[in-house]
Amino acid sequence: MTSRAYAGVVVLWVVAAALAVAWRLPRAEIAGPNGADALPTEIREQDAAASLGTGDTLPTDLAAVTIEPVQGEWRGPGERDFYVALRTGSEGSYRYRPFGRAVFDVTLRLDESTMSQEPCTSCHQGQEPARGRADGEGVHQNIQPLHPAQTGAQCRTCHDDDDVSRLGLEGGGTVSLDHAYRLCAQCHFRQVESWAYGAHGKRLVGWSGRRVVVGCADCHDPHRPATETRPPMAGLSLPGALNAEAGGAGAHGEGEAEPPGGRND
Amino acid sequence: MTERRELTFADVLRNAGMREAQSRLEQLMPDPATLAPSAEGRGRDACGCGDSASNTLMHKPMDRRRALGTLFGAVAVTTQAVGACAPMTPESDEEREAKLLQREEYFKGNYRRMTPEERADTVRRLERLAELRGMGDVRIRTGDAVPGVMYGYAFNISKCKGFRNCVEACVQENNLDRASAVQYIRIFEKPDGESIDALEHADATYGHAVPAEGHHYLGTQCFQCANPPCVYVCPVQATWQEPDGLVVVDYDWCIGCRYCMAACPYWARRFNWAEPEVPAEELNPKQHYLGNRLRKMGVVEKCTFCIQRTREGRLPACAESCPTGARVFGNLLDPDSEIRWVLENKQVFRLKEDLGTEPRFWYFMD
Repeated sequence: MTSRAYAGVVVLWVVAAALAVAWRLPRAEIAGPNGADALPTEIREQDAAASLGTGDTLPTDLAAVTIEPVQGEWRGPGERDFYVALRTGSEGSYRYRPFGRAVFDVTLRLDESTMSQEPCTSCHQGQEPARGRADGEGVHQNIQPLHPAQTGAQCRTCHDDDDVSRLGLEGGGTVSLDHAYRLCAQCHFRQVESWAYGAHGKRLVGWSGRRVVVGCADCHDPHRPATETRPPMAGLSLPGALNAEAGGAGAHGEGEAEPPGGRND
Repeated sequence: MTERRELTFADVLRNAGMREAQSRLEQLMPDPATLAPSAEGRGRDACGCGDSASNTLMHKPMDRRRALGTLFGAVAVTTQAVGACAPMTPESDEEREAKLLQREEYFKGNYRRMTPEERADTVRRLERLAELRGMGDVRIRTGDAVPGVMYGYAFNISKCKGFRNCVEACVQENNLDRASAVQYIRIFEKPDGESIDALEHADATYGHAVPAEGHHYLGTQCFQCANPPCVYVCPVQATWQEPDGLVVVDYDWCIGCRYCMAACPYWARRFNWAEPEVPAEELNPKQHYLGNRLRKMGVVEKCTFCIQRTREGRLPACAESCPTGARVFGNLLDPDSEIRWVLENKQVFRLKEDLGTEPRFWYFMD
């Protein structure tokens, strides 16, 4: 190696070392503060942007949902009261269950690329949706209305009569598709309660800091909400073939218990 | 000949950022003032340092490990010095540097007893070694537990559909050995109606489309037990529980006895029968010393709830990749966290609770 090339390696190494130092600088701030909430925001967002999967794209358009610790009364966006009309007859345990307090953000549905470019009103302006037709025959070929078929619902059970791009709530009032959880909550109040507190649904970005969750329709196709069947990922190698390949076949004692589902230790 | 002398032993160490090795070398070297008046002369004449080395060794108080390292170092220096005076084998600078770094690695201490400087040194060596192995620009962090945080996990057996996206994400995130297809996570397919925590008839090797009718799914991984039997049995304290509850392994302190694997009632640990293989293009360069950094043959590894992610406020890869939202992760010490709501409002159970291992991993149902 010539001295020039060697000097090049030195320069590269110095640069790499400087980068390494710069990389570590924020870490000291993480270790220092008390409690997880003290994590620096810029660290979280920086890491979130570079993370895997859903964390890759931190949604920019979010709606805040606030649930006050009162008797089933919710405060929706804009601090307006929002009442969940329960369809069970009983003055149930769920409606009056103490909710605690949850404030979080949801992703907005209207900005999704999967939504059609054309607004629904380009066809449905001022017209009532078809009555009594749950299958949408002849139109909306892309929609498989399993959910309405199972529940005996029609288009207008959920979609507003005057503007089908909005959702009509029981007892009047409409909400945009962004806030479909308010419609869903009318029947699926158990699920929405779990969703509001994190036992159902999916949190984005991280466990710490601002809580961002996806809305109902981000996972469930409203017209066929059940999870589809598909092949699983990452098949597990069978123990015999695995150990033979890894050279560990003879190392297991004969009397050693075989864990269910095989081993690849 | 002249090209070999361009790169002295001291230069190699200095450029590798090995302060400790360099200072040791300077101890071993003859006083440069007696050899060359200029600073540039330092370390150039590496021959004839054997007497000096033995004298330094004889008179310097040191512990056993350090003494062994120094002795080994003196042999290496002598060998290198002879080689520099009369080069015979064509060894590249990278190979030499890697050997020297590897030698330093052999003699480092247990992670928990390292000073911050020693941690920084070993991280620098490991990053450089990864670079020399063609693994690219690896970043190994040593972030400590965040005060006021205790990690907990909840798994919804009503929601899991057996897609195994978590397994895939885990393999990628944690740089698991591709050759032996190591996986930290098992997803068990269980027939409905079977005892809720029984795995006797469960199958973790299914390949058919899921969810299968009449079945539900239950995932296992390391549960980061609060009373971890694996930790107690380790004869060399190479595995321990961090203040935030994560049970971790010092891969460079592990002797591979596998007592921990025998002690774990959940089959959560994995052993490297061969040198792990991860393609450089698939390597996750964001690593943690106690987490997903590259392992080696003959050591035990395990799930750490993605320590490299969770200590920065992010979700573990399994939780982030789950398409059904069956995985809930959070801070058990935060009363407003999702995990606490699940524990307080859902029916939860843990596997083999009668053993008293106190897993921080619960299962729940809708």
